[in-house]
Amino acid sequence: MSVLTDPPKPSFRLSQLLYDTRYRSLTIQVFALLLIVALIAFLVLNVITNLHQIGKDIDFGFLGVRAGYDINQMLIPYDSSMTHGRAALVGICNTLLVAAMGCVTATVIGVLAGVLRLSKNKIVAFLMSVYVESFRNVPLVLWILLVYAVLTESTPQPRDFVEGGTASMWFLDTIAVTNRGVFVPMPVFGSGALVLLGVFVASLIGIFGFRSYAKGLQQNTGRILPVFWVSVGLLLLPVIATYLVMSNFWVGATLTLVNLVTLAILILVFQVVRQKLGSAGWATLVAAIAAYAAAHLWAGGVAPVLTGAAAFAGLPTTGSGFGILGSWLVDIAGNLRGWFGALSPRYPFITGIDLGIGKLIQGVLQTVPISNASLIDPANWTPPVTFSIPALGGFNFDGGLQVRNSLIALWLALSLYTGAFIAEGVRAGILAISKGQSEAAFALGLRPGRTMSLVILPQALRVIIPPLISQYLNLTKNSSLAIAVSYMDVRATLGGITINQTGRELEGILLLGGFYLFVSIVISVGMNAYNRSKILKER
Amino acid sequence: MADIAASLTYVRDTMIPQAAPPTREAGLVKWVRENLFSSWLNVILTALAIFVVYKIFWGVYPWLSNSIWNAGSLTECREILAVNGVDPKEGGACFAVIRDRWVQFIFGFYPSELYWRPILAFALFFVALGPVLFPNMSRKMLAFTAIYPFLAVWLIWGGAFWSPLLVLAGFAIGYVAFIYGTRLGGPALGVIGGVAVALIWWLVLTPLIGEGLNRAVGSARLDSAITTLTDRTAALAPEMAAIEAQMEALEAQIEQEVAVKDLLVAGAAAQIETLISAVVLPWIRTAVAASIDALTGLRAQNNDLAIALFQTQKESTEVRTLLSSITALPDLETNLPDLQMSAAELRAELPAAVAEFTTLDAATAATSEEKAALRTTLTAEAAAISAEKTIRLTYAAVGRIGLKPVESSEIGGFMLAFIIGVSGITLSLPLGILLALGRQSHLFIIQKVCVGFIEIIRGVPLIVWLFTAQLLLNYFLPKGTNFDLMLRVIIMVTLFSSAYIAEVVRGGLAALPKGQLEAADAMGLNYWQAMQLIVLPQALKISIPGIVNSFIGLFKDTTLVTFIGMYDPIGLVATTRASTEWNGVYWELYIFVGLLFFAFCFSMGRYSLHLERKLRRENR
Repeated sequence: MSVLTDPPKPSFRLSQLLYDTRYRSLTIQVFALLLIVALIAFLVLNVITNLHQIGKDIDFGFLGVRAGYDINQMLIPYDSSMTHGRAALVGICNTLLVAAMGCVTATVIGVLAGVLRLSKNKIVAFLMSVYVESFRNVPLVLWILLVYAVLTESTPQPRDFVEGGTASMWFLDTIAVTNRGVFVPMPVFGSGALVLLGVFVASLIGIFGFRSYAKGLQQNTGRILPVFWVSVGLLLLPVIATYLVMSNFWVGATLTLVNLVTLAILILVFQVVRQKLGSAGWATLVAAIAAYAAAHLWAGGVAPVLTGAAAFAGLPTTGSGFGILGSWLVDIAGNLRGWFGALSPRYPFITGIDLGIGKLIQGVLQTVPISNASLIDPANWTPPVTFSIPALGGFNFDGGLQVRNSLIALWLALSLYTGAFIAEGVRAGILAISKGQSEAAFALGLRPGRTMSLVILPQALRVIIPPLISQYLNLTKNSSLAIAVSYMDVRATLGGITINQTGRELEGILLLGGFYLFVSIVISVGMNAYNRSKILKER
Repeated sequence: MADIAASLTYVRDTMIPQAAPPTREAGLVKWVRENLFSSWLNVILTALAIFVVYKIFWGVYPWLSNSIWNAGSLTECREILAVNGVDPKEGGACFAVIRDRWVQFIFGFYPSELYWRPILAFALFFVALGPVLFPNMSRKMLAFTAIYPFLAVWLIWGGAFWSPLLVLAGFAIGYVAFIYGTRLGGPALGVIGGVAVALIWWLVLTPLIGEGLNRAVGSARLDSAITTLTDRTAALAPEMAAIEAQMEALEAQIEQEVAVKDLLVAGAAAQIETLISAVVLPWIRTAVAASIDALTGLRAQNNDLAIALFQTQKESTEVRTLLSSITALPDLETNLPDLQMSAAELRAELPAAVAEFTTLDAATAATSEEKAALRTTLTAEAAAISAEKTIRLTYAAVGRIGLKPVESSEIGGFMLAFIIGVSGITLSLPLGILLALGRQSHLFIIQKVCVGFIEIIRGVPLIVWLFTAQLLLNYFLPKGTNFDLMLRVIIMVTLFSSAYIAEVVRGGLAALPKGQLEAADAMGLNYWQAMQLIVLPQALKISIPGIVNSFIGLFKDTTLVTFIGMYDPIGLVATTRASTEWNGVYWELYIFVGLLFFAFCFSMGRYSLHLERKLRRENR
């Protein structure tokens, strides 16, 4: 008979460190740690001795030294007497600017191309796959340089814009495309700009609130509110009204009032007529025509009559306000008459009304004595935001904002290139949703638009967003290719001219790398938070 | 039966013959209706798409159909276009620039008489690639694949035949050390021993043996070298004179031909203006074409001569330098110890304030005596180093048995992109897999180190890493180590791409069910066996598309080296556009470069799709 005894307590032997799986991982880790520490120490010591031998001990003091170079694109005030640190900051702003612009356009392009590539329309799908493949398989630098070359070599010089020259400006003479860049109107912020900004922020908050209210209403009662149109209205109307009122109180207030009433009439008539007639396609058309006619009658006929009445009653300011509006509307009415005139054989009735109204307006306006003409004069307007329009002066354009070709080339190429990758992500996201989902939605009686927005997109976004954000990250890093077109981003200021001038390669590149690393980490932390919030809630 | 038949008024007892479907439900019409005009939106899209295609076609087609393939400069191109009566609005492509420069776009500034070497290396590349891409080829071919990298490096950069062999020997020696180490103290000791021995061999012994061989062969050959070099010097001068004379004659001819061509062009312009051109103009056009042909031929000859002249001049300088250093060799060798000794003594005697400085710029705060002392020391050190270097280089030049060496700076164009791309791809895959395994590892320290490495590399743009390679890498290494810019770039590109591949492979690893690894454990496989036999084959299969995408990205990113002064295709486009002949050309060059890149990347992508389909085991 054998007696079961406890095995002897194993004493620790040194060879266990190597052969016992309990200790071996520890041995390997300690060994690896030693190796890594040794490697890092070797590198750091080398750097210290090498730099000491050439007299360049590590020192970040150069950031406070006068930079002495100019930067051709500044979002924050800067001149050559400021420090290298400030120059780096200007570069950072430029990098973030092109990255933000690129992200927006790349998303638009990518979503469009991704959806269209799945379209049943074979020609469109083919065009989109040509776009995606050609951008994915050709280096980004080449695209940047090509766009830049096209912009600089095939656009006219500023001096071609003189009277009778070979080139002309776009959009009512406000935008000039030249080989030195594109000149666009520049907003000049006056004293009341902050109020305008406040209104804008408030309307954004309002939109947000309305949207969450609408969502709650839909989830509780099933009623669906017209979210899109209300959002657009909330976004535009308060800002426009504030702008007008701040420019000139009386004129602005009248214009706003008349416009609001016009809009209300438009919507009301449309809704009422449509409800009376039902939801057929022709009903919509009739409702639209009726709404247009009603609004037109009000704005073109009644408002000017009011103008006249107000003027005779001795209210000079309101009178002049209506006067402006009247002439403005006559303009529009004239245009519309042109369009309807073309259609007159088929719609003689509408054209007749329209012509009659136009005559009426003109007649009324001619009898209105505009007593306070100075208020209509633009010189007496004090808008919170004005626009400086570029105009040719000498050999270059004055005024306006010069958007350099380097920025445009970088922005366009980055957007198109990243857009191709985003398109692939969007396509994959939509394909990842099984066909049963849309079939089920159709079976429930949802229309295709609602199926897309309520069933497919919320699920597809879960797949689309993470790679989308990593594409944003790539775009931000790729913006360092600004070097190809000498765009003054952070690589060009901190990592270029500053390094060359001060000879501080190590410090400069450390800071540059640190900046990009910081941006990456911020974005990826955000992405992880998003992923956690959207992760499929499974039981 | 009967009453059923009676209750039905009519029962068909034969099938109706099959009829063709209605026209709108069959063939092309149906396809068009369903795909192009199924809804209002679709009709608008179709119209837009057709409009876009039409616009692109009519924008590009005339330009392409008017293209000029034979001209010496952009001005000549435009002259020919004008003579041909091309509408200036349409314009015409000037692909003559590609005909003129394509060799440069492929080889960069590689010496033209040595083109066979990269071409051979490129051809052998496919032989080496075969067994990797197509597993049904003979396994023995893999041996060639294994030695191909050494062969290719030797073919492209040249040098003594023993240098690749010495590097290869390192692997053999390391392997032997690994076997013995394993026998003595288990696999861990084996790996450590093998790596250590191989490192010692490469870092210490290989340079020593290489130089020893150089010296041995060199000193045996010194006398014969002197006679051949002297003969060569004597022969070179008349050769150069002859080439120069030929060139002068050719240039005169070219000038004449240019005058003829200019006359013809002016004549054509006059004819077009006066509009009485029906007879004369066609004749002038043929004459201009013939003249341009003649000019191209003459210029090609002239170009060949210029290259020959350049090479003879270069050879002459090389021969003379080598000859003078051979003559000076005995003196240098006797003086070298003295030089080194005196430099060391001077350094030791330096005042403490400047004792460690290696440039004069460093001593900003020093007194003038200290500066003077530093200056003398630095001069002495430079003399010693240069003497040592001259001796080494002379022996290397005389004692080399092998191929003529080529500098990395002479390599450019697609060859450069291809070398960097292929080396980066080959090296980054194993490194990326190791990093991914490290990131998934349970060993805390290793996991954190891998995560840190991957995130830092991925968080910073490649261009910043390339600047690091260019400006900072020397600071990180002991003083005096200075290695090739191309090698530094390859290292950086490899590290960069491996971090991306690691993330792709990590996705593949994460997608594997845990049961696979547990089953492998249950079978008694150790970690590496489990990874090699069970986990990696499945994980890699899942990650093929991502890995190939990284490869494509890497290949495209090779274009960034242009910003650190290497002549990749994009850099060559810039030089071509800056030349007097081709200033103003851009579409043609970018189309050429873009199409070549597209061909490479697109075929890589297609191969990955093929591989994906082939490896798809489920749902077949």
